[in-house]
Amino acid sequence: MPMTDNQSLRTPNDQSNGILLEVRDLSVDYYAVNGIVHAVKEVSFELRRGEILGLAGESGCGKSTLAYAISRLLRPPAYITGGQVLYHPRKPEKREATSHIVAVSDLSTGQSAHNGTAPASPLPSPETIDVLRLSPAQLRAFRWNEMAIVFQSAMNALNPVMTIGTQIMDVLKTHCPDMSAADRKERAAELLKLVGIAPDRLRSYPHELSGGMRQRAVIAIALALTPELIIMDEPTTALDVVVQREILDLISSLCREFSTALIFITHDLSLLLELADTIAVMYAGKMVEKASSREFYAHPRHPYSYGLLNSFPKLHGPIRRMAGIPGSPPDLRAVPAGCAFHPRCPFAWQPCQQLEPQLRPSTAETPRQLVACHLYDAHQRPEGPPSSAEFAARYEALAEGSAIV
Amino acid sequence: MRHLLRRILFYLFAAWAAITLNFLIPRLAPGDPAAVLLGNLQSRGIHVGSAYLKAIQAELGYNTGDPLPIQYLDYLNSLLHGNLGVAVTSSFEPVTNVIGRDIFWSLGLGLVSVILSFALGCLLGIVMAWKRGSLLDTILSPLLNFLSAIPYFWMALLILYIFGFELRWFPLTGGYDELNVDPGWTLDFIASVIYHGILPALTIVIASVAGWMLTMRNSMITTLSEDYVLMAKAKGLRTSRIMFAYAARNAILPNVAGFAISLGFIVGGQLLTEMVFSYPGIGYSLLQAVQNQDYSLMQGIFLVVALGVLGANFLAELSYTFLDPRVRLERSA
Amino acid sequence: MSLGKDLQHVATLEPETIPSTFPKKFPRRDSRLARLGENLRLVWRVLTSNRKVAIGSSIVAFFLLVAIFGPMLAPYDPTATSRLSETPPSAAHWLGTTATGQDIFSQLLYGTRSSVFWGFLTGLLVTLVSVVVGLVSGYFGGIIDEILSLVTNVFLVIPALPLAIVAVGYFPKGPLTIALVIILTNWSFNARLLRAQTLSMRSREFVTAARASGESVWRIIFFEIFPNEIGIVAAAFVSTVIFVLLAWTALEFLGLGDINTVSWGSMLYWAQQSDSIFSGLWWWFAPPGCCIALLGAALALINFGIDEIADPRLRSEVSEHVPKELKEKAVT
Repeated sequence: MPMTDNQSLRTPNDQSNGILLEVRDLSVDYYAVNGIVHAVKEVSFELRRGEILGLAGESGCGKSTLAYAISRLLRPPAYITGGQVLYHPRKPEKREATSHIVAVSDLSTGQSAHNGTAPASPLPSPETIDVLRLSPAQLRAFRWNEMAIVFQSAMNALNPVMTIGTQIMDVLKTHCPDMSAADRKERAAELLKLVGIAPDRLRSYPHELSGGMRQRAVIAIALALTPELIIMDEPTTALDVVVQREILDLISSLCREFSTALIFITHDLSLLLELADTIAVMYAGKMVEKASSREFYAHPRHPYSYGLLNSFPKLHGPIRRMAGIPGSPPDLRAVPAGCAFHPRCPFAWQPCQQLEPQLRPSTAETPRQLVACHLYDAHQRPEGPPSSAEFAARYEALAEGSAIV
Repeated sequence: MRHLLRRILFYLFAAWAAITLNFLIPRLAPGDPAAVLLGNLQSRGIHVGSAYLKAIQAELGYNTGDPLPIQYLDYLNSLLHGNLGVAVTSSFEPVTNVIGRDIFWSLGLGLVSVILSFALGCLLGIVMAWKRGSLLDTILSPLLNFLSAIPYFWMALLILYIFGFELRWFPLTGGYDELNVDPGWTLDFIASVIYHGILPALTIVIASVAGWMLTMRNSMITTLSEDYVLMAKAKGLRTSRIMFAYAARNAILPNVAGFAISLGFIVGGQLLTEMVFSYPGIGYSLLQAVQNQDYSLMQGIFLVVALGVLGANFLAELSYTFLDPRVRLERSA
Repeated sequence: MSLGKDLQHVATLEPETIPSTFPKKFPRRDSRLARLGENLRLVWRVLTSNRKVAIGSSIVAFFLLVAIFGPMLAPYDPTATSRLSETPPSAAHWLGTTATGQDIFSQLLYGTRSSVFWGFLTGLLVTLVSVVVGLVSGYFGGIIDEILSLVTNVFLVIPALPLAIVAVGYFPKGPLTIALVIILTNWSFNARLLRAQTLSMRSREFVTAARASGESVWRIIFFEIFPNEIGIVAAAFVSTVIFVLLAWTALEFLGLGDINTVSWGSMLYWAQQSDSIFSGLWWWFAPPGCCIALLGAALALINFGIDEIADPRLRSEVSEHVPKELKEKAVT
């Protein structure tokens, strides 16, 4: 595994206590009937406490698979074939000194007898949790305490035959066995209030709520144990624009309030520009660019990022002919050799068809903006990366070309 | 409420349809069933008076001068008074008496068997779906598929032959040991009833369990891929909680909704099973009625079975509205 | 007959849920023959692509062959009695003899012809009634649909076998009576299925187009809509044959059929009448039941296969080439 290349991107002078999640060379394969599909290929990134990471890409690029892999929710035929997911839990004082005392052998019950009110978390070490190596019981304890998930469609994510209240209290009952029924109910009502739902909705069934309310309820469930990390898989896609706005504002304010780190998956880059601190773009199972929102917006480095960013109309600036990137993402069973994007790339030249570019700092001025593209490799392109104007011109030419065809 | 009202009206209509079919069938038939019956009786050396003949003919709609609507009213009237005619096979006893005596045997056997097979089928289906692709799943699926295609009565013959005749573990006929035990709430009697009921119940359970199980398995597999099950997993809930409260709780709905159709088949199968085991339920009486052209008894039994099945279906639908809150909403809307 | 429930699964066989095997939409004014041809090709592809379907249809084909050619191979006259009564299976009598010395193997061969012939014929007729009621009800809607649906639902909840027993009892004994009664008591399930299907198809483009071009209602129903439902009708037919077989043998077993013709049901009737169980004559009552179960299971297998094609998740075999250590690691 070409670890060395990626190793360099984990900026060494990092104060490691700021880092919450490290994903190292994570790969996921689908064992489909007609062959193996590499859905996620050696993806590495890290997430700081309270950071909002936006994961963007067209459908089928592996962004959801990556999220499910991190949370170990992949179902057959998808399997993790390599890599590590390291999680750095809260400092012991916040954890009420439970986790490091519990020996691994005591974990089989999944519940810890220790401790009073705090969520008992029988995890191996308070320093680092190797998520992919957790036993089923450890995994159950890890889940929701540390990492919660919000699914795309709230309608499908909520059990249709169980009240919202029960679905919240289920979490409390499992993870805080010492909590009384009354306390659980109070906490559930509190959570509903937090997301802007009247507490008397505790007794409502999912189908009795509107689409926006359901998504709010799911977010309330996610916040039940105030996890440090929430993964949201296109949480607003199924909603209409106005509700989408409200939910985004809610997510944004709640994350800041609880300083929850968030991995927000979407195909809609425009959402991320205002919500996320960091944006990562995926293409054909690989991460092709990762940068702070600001840098990303100012200079999308990867030609694909540039195409994505300019695929929605801008309110200001000149009217562009180009709309989106011609062509469609590759069939993952037959990913082009070299850079997977090269058949659609307006800059593609010879090395793109042979060499797979690795994620590396883009330019000397922007060392934290990582990109996997030969345009930024001084060996391949000694004259340096193209300018924004050049990007626009190439894409426009491509759009015209495809219009003629 | 409107939904519930509609269902009540539907079942009332279905009951009326069953009653009317029961009236029409003998009147649509060619020939004179009463004469057939009489000939049958005479061939067995039983002579009946002309009064009986007339009564039977009237009941079946022959040689009565009355037009059809009047006959229909008469028929409904006697039904209201609980008069289903007399059973020739049972020495001219009123049909209601025969059925009243048999029905408890059938109800007992049927209830126990249906509940057992439903519970067992659902449970197996849950486990098979949960452990999909396991040895249990790959072996049990085709095996039960084969079992479900076996006719009830042949299954009954087979079970009776193996466990009754060859192994002599269980009695060959009857509902209890008539020689040594007197009916009553005694331990001996109850033990004898259970002992005699095991093979018939086993037949019904084996023959019907596959249907519940396969539906449950498929429904469960579909449910297991739902996001709410994945979310339950992500919530770190206990496996049993995910399996039952989240997955099975939803997966069972099609089985409950399909209860009506299945029950009709199971009841039909139970009648055949009783015949093979000479079990003292209405199935066995039906066999005797069929063999002796005892039309009144046949029709009475059909009516009772049909109304019973309709009632059970209504109860199943009621329970469905409790199991699925989405229907409740529809109902109150 | 507990098949009611699992066959209900066929109800989900809507074109929308069938990913690749059944086409979603057809060209607007394609020739109807071509469309039917396409559908038949699909049926063939279904027959050969899934293991369950392949096994099931092979067994069914075997029974059809026995039904056609079996009697020619029969060593004895199936009704001829002999002094060799109640002999167990031997070289002379492969499946032994009855109480009156009839050769059971010959009876089975002849019985297969009768049972398979009537089973498939009645199954076809039941399906035909379902198709007509379902399509008419679903296409017309309104009051016609209300009435037909009501009748369908009533027949769905009235227990079929007791009704059949009562009805058969009044009419002259014979296969025609049984066939009619079975049609009366078994059409409703598939009628409901096809009604729902037609309802969803009514507003499709090609139907609208046909209506706009002034085609007669009956032509639209049976030449435009019906060819598109051929896959579901085929599945419905398969399940119907199972029910018909079971109902048919049950009625014959009760002596309500023509007890003098040789069929699986009447063989069981005579076996039961002669108390074959209590004489230990397993070779008499076992073979016909085995045949019914085998043919029924084969037919059910076909439908399970179709279900799996429609919804691949239902397959019990998981793809084999996943490395074991991955499977073990993937505990979730």
